[in-house]
Amino acid sequence: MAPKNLKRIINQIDDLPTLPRTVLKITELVNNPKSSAREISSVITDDQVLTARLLKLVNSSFYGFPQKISTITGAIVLLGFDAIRNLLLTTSVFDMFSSRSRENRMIQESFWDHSLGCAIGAKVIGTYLRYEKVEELFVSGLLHDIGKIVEMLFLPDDFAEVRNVVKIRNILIITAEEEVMGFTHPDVGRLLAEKWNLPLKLVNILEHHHQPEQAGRFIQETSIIHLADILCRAIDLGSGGDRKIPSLNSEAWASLKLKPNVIEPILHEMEREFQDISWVVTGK
Amino acid sequence: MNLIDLEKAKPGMMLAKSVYTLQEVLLLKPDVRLTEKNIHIMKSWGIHEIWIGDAAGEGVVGHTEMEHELRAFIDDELRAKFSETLPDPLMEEILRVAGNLLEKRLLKKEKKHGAQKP
Repeated sequence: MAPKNLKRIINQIDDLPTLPRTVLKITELVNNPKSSAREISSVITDDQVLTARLLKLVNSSFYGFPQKISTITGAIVLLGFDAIRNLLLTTSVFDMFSSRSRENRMIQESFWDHSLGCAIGAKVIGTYLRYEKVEELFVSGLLHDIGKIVEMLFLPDDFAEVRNVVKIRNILIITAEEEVMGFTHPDVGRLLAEKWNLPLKLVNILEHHHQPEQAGRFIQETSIIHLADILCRAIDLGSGGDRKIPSLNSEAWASLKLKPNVIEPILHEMEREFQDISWVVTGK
Repeated sequence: MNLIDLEKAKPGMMLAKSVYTLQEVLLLKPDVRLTEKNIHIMKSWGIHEIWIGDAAGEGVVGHTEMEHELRAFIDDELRAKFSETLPDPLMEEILRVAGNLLEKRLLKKEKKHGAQKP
């Protein structure tokens, strides 16, 4: 992206949302190697809504722990600091971007469904690859298109024009963004992720999920999100904002070292899991 | 549940009935999902036909006219959506599986809707 366009985004989105104080505090604690589970637990339990939501998530079928987890400290010990930070981040992001406009709410819901589908796809692909931190992939999938939500809420006129161009010419939304605004949702996503001090891996995934070959040492994770995005578009889990599907990047596919016959079981698993967990994350 | 020619069996389909050899040896139990390997084994034992459940939503014979129309609609939509990504064997595979899944999802919805009608 040209520097002048970067400047334009910053000028136009001068009020990018900030993360809730609790999540910022937890991010800070997680980044500090001297922090203890008890310290993190005491910050979370100060917020009753976060506490309830976290316990609901760790007791959901997504994690599949055999016994019920009834304390935040227990959840932290079982899942680890990073996983807890990611869970809190995910649930907070859903709240922060809730829209009052009825039309926006409908578009947003289909975007969230798409993001959830991508998150599930990323988790399923990660499981096939025996990727160690599948929950990290899940969060990356959920946030991969956050730039579109920011555009919709903070650049409503430009975004309406983008949607109009997509509708008339039946092209990918990323192509229309480039034409109308000179920047794209991955650019906006990267800015937001940097503002929130998210891990470098997540910043790279958000920025390069349409060009995973540019993600450097994060090519595998970015390729997983790239493939998951394509798969959930193929089976209509939510909407990415257009009626087209991006091409599968050959370098991305090669980096995953998967065989074509895994596509079928992966898609079947995505379909099954989508029905299972959508209520846990979105509350629908 | 449908009886299909083994030649039409595809990986991912679900067996609806046990498969026995001519010597009455049990080869596969119901609810087993077919793989390239077990299709090959059945062929090598001289099996010609198998019973398939609709769990995988594919290879089902005896479609109604409505089901044919639905499938044609899904295929048209998918072809339009995938138009700029083809020909690519991987995208073709994604398209094929997506078509089967969407058909299964819509038929399920249709049945549910039909069952709710007075």
